[in-house]
Amino acid sequence: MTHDLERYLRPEEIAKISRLELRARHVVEGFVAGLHRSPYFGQSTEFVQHREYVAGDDARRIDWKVWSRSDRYYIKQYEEDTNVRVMLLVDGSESMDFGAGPLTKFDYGRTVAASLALLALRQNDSVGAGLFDSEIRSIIPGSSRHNHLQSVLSGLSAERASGETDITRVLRRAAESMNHRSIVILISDLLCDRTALFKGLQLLRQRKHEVLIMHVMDDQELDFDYSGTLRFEGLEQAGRLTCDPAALRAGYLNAVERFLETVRRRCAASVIDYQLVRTSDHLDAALSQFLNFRIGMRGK
Amino acid sequence: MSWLTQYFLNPAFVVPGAALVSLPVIIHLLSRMRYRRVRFAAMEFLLQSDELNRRRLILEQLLLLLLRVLAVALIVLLLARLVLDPSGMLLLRGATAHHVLILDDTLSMRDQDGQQTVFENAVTVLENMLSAGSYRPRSIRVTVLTTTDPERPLVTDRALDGALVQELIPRLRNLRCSWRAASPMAALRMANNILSADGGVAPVVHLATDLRQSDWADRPEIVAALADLDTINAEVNLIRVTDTARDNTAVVQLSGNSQATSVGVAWRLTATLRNLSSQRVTGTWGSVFIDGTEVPGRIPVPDMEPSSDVVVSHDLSFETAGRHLVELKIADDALVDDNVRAITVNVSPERRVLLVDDQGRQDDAGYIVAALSANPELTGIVTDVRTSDVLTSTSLKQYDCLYLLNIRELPADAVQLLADYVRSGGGIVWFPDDQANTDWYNTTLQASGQELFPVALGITSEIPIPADSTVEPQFESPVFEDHNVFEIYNTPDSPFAALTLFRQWFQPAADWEPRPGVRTLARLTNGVPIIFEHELGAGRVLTFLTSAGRRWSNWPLPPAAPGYVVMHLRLHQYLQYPDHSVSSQDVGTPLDLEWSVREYTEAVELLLPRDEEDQTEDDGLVRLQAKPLPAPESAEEVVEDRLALTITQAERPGLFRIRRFTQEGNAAETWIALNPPTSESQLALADASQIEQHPELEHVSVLNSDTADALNPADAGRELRWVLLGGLIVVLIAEQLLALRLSFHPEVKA
Repeated sequence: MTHDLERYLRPEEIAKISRLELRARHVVEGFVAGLHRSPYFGQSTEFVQHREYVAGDDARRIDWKVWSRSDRYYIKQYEEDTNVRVMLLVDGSESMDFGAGPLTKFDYGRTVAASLALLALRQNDSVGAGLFDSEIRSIIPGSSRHNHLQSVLSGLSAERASGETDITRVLRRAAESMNHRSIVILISDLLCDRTALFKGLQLLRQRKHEVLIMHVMDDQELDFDYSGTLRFEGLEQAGRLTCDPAALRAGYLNAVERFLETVRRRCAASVIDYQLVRTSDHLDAALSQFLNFRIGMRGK
Repeated sequence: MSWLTQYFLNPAFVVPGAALVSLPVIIHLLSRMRYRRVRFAAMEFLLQSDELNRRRLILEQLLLLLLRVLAVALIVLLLARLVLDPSGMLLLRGATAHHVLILDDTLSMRDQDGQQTVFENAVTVLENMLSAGSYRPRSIRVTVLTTTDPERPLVTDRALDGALVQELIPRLRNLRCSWRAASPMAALRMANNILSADGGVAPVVHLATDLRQSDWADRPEIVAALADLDTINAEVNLIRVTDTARDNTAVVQLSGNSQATSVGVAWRLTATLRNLSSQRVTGTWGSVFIDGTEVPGRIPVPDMEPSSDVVVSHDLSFETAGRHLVELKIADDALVDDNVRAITVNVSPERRVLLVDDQGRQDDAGYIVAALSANPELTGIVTDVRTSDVLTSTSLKQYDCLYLLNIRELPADAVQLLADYVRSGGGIVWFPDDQANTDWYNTTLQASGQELFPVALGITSEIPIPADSTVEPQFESPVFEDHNVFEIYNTPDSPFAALTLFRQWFQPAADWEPRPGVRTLARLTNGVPIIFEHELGAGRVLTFLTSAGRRWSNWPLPPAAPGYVVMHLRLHQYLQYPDHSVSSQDVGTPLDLEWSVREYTEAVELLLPRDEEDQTEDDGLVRLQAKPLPAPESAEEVVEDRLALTITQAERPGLFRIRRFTQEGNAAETWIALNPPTSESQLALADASQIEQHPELEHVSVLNSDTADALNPADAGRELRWVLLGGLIVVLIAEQLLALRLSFHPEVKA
């Protein structure tokens, strides 16, 4: 990716764009322009190449004409087309309304969601979206129509994040609303009841949905680089504390590390893909994660 | 607020400083009230950290606050110059200064400096220092020593306050300068011992001294003693109480030609005078006193060059028998005490010499009698001529010396008595002749182990007389070594040796080898040794391998006779039995007496010399009691009980008369003249810069008496300042480390 294209993906550049659609297009254009060619293969009408058959390949893809000429089994490979359903669940609780950088976690998460929706729609995937706090504030059913992006973006639009998170109820409702096997992408800071979170995620897994968690954390939440005497006032009514943050930094980082480790371990145990993203990271990281996930999906 | 002046030299800083101490608390409270609000999402982790660290954080913050308060308080105390009485504060014992004051009281301190002696100057200096030190009660401890008796301090490790000063100053003023010589080393070592045992104090040594060259220049042992004080971090101040080396002359030696003499007999007094000044001394006279009465006729003293000695002699005679004190005085100068010197002499009506001659006619003894006592009034000597039987029948100690002439042999008991006599200090002279039993001399006498005879006798040699009377026989003459007895033969142009002719003599045995300690005093011209001397115990033995009369030589006959007479008179003086009832020695030498219980009882009376400086002293009679000596453990034989007495009062020049009593109650006196030690007469001053610039003596300062006011509370106060300063540094370092740990210092990011 060239330096100019990289500029499109910087959070500080994204923050200058107010409309979510423009943000999404900005991100996806920058991301796609950086790719030399589509690395994705699937059942499509556009032939790409032959590959020698190996055990496990679908026998329907064998090119019998080649067999008749060479007496060897080859299969055809095409540009992949989609039959994937993607559901984007974005955390809109008050804790997401925190950001020490140009973007709050909510802004970052919405932008990632919008960009993923655009990217997915360009691949003819079916995309749905939901915004939730203690309950799902809005949900847009999945569709692969090109003009569906506007619906998705309208579902993600909100002035700001507010309310508390009731993740179990949200995930149950999301699971109930999806009749087909889908990819559920949860974009959240996961600052909620962990037991309830994984209970909800287990529910999705039980219904054969693939789950990808994009864990959005702010730099200050991960690094805690404060100084001076500060009064911390918790979002989502999490209490308040006046302290010298430097004196508590080591203990704080230990607690955060334990939290992340727990989440990683439990995601791995539940076969859930997990990606920690900082609000200072370039947005292509989230898109790359999604595409890698799609490759993994194709192999299954 | 006047009470503050007890504790602070700058009390004006105290009240504002106390307000400043609260500053860290105020800043801390203000900083807690001024904070920035932050809305934060991940509060659960922050609250977890707070819960885990709350107690530690509170403690650390309180400790940090305490350190900051303490730092401000220490700065205030430093500025206000806190002075505490450290005696009640164990932790601040280092603030106590222990001053050891050493007063040089050796004889040279009697040097007269204007109206006062140098010693009195030193006392004044110490008084001033003590008075100044008492300003701060109990912040200073003192020990006061003298150089001549450091084992007995005037005071030891006492807190200096007004009461101690009131006690010490009269004692110092009553202290008298001694007449002794003493190196300052002993006092410095004692100061080191005292201060070493007193850990945790600031040790300081002050030595008020005249800083004489003889005591301080080129004395490695003094440098070592001073350097050792550096190992205990002691400061040393040498306070020079005089800056002038005044001219001085001294009588450094006085002796008579014998310890005992007879009434009316000429007795020669010989004195050595030393010019210790840098200028020539002319026109000095000496005066002789017998028992305090000046003898008419003063002794002219030749001109004395700087740093040189002159010897003067003067003949005296005593009109009465008994012990006499003879003094020689020269004119007074800066140090008057060394201008006089005294000796004692025992004058008897007569001196007795025993001549034992076993030759029938005793002709040989007759010649010696003629030499010694031809005129008893002139020589004061009475001779007894006897045979060898007398050796076992009379007390030999009544005789000054014994002549053993022509002895064939002696019984064993006589040999034993002779040996006892010599060992106790007596002198004997052997003159064997041809009737001597050489077997007895060479075998029995040698086998007795008494070592009375120094040589193995061989054959007698005789020079034959030529038949032709016109031919002169070739007799042998003696050649004498340098010796007091034979001085007349070795004086320039003396004819007497050549005029003395030997015709016959004993050859030493061919296989004889001189044993150690035997000295040959004369040989014949043919090389044959003929006169020997050796010592046995405290006495002397002279052995002549020829007869004393005229049978073997012409010695007693003219023209050799004058030499013969003088030689025997000198021999008498040389071998004179010591008179233990008179002696003289320097002040400072222990005056120890020891005797058998058979001689005297344990009761002793001591008559002290008249003390001109102490008018309150009465007749000077001191009654003492001797103590029995323990019997030596290794003694195989039964030994007699003995008594011993050490006279501690012998600390000043003059005549000490010691009276002891026999079992029958008869008194016997011993006279001892004590003289000032000559080493103290040198008044030249040491170079102070050499001491100060010595590489090992950086801790030593040489001060003049007018600047020596160093004994003051500043020493203790200074130590407290260092304690406060050290504490402040420690507190500041701890505060910084703790603040860093609490991360109040932002990290520097690369």
